[in-house]
Amino acid sequence: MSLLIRGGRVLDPATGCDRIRDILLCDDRISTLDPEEDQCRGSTLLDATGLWILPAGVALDTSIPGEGFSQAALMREARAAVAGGMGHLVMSANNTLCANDIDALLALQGLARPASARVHFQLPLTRNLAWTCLTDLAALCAQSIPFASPGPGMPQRLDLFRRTLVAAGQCGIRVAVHPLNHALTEGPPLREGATADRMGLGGWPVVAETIAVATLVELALDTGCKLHLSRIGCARSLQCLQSARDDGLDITADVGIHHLFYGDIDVAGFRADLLVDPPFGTQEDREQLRQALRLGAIDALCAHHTPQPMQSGPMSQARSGFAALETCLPLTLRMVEEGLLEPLQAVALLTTGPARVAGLPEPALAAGKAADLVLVDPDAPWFYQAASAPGAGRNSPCEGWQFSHRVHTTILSGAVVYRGQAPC
Amino acid sequence: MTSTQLDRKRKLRHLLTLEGIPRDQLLDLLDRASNLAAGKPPEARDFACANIFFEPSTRTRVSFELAEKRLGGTVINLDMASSSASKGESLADTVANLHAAGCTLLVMRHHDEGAAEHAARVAPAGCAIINAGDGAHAHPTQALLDLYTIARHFEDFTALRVAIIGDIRHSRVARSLIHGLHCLRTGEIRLCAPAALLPKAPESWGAHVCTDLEQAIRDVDVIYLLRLQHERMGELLVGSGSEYRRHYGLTAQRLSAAGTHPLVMHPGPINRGVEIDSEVADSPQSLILEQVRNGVWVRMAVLARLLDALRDTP
Repeated sequence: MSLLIRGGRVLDPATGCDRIRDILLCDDRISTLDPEEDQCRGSTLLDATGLWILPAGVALDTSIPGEGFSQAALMREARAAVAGGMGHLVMSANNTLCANDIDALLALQGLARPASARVHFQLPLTRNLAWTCLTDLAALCAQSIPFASPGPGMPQRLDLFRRTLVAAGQCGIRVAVHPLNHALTEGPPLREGATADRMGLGGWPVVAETIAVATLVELALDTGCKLHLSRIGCARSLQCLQSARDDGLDITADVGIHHLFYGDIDVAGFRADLLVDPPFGTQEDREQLRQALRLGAIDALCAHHTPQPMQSGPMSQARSGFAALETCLPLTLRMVEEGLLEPLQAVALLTTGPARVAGLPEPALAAGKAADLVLVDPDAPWFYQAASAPGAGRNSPCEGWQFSHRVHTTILSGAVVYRGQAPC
Repeated sequence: MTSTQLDRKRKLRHLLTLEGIPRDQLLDLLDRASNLAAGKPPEARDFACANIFFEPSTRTRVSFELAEKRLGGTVINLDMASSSASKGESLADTVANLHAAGCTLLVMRHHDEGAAEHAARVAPAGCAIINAGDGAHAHPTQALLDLYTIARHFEDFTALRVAIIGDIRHSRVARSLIHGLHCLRTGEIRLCAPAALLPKAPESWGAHVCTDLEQAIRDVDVIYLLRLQHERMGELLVGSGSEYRRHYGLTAQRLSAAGTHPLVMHPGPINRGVEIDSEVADSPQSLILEQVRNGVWVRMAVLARLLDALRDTP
């Protein structure tokens, strides 16, 4: 079975291609680009005139809401993912989703197989993330991605964490850590400063993040383990990251997509629906994160999909996090509209960048590569409404936002898994 | 700044904070209080209101209850420790049920910052929320009575110099008072506290900040003292009470050295021998009991204003 995608603007960071091309898919692979006419005989035609063609996106740090992981919940969030052009979900290891051993991993992979998106499971460094027993990282890695986690947040027992990093480093596994020392935080996730002050809240100081980043850099130097800083939230972390890289350390980093659009001041007036970990930073943080993105100092953008119900209680009872799978790609492409990023740069931050971080095969629109791609209409204005989204999350900072770029079609393994609606 | 408390014409429909309150609305409340204090009889009204206190209170609760009764209201005092809230009822349900029972004004004190804002957002039409203190965020009626008290002694706020001394970081009173003083275009506001008890970004408060008490109170017109809010403070923010007094306690000697015979205010409860010495608290310069007296007029004014707003709402 073959599908000819004709006349779309191919944006492929892996090859640096940015021009109008035809792509012929055959079964689950890309057969060739710009095929001869006789090669296309019998193919189904998909006219991509005016559309952009990108590799399918990779969503780092994805969680399942509510009571925890279930196949039904995963199916639902996978539908949200492909509707947003994200073909790969990297599921965070947490209390309800923990591939402790090969059997558990295979069971999870079996549950995920029918999902419309490709699902990958981050490996837990310790069984049940409980810091009592190491997982068999070598065996798990052979069946999954070389991407592990100590669990949510910065480990408190640095002695144990250091030992697990040695084990992960030996297996060539990259360990992702959200750099935040909760001993220094107070109250709901709000950046310490003027806005938190006015609300009478303590806030989370910058040092809660920078002290964790500095600690992680030292541990990377000490253990030789590859690290990933998940969701950097402040400008000073960038300096520490650059210094570590200058010293030759293999440390990657991502930024939460919403942190490039929102700041602490937006949370004023007790906006419980804008609570996120790490909290939104200052305008200066936001600008510096954006510039770091432009200059290539950030490896990936992170949807940090943490769907929650609509926030209905006071801020003290609010759960932080947003549904983000459907809006991550449109938000990223908005930065192209704003002139901050080149189109290839933007696409790389959601494809080749996160794939390299998580150890996935490089997404590319080239012959022989997996036929995982997304067609985007760059001129199809639409309004995002969480209530009508396929995922369970109803809390989104993008509620009511208008986007220019809309996912037209998502194709995984050569099969159409999502076909968008006509622009509203 | 919140707009939840204002209607489309920027008139008060709840009272949640003094941050962003329109000047005409604030002056209207002070005028109403002044008329009531001058003996103008309040309009006869028939209403029911509930005092919902999730945190202990003496002065504020008594003051509200007296104000409500003087306006002719039927007053319900809820002991939230034994109410449905302690059985897991949400704040939104508590508000809806009290309104369904006929309470149109809900006076609420809560330990969580933003609780009153949330209550106002979920309140049904025809129900007004008055914030009687939410965590460390706001205490607008206290600030209003403070402004009213100051206004009884100083006509021109633009020439006024006010020093606020004490645990500003954890004080809802200080936050509301500063917003109110700015609204009335106060000439100079000084904040003085140990560094750990100052706001984290004091530069955004439009006030001069210092950590030296003598310097802070020099040539001011009003010294506003705050107690240490132990219930909201973390560990190791300040030393002992005696150490605090040594550096920040207002003694008669320090008061006399201020130079301008400033008036002394305190929202209560006072801790004699810590932030204020008895000699100062009981001196002619102390307005502490006058503040308490004025509180009833001011709260009557707030209640009356919101009842008018409810009556005028279609």
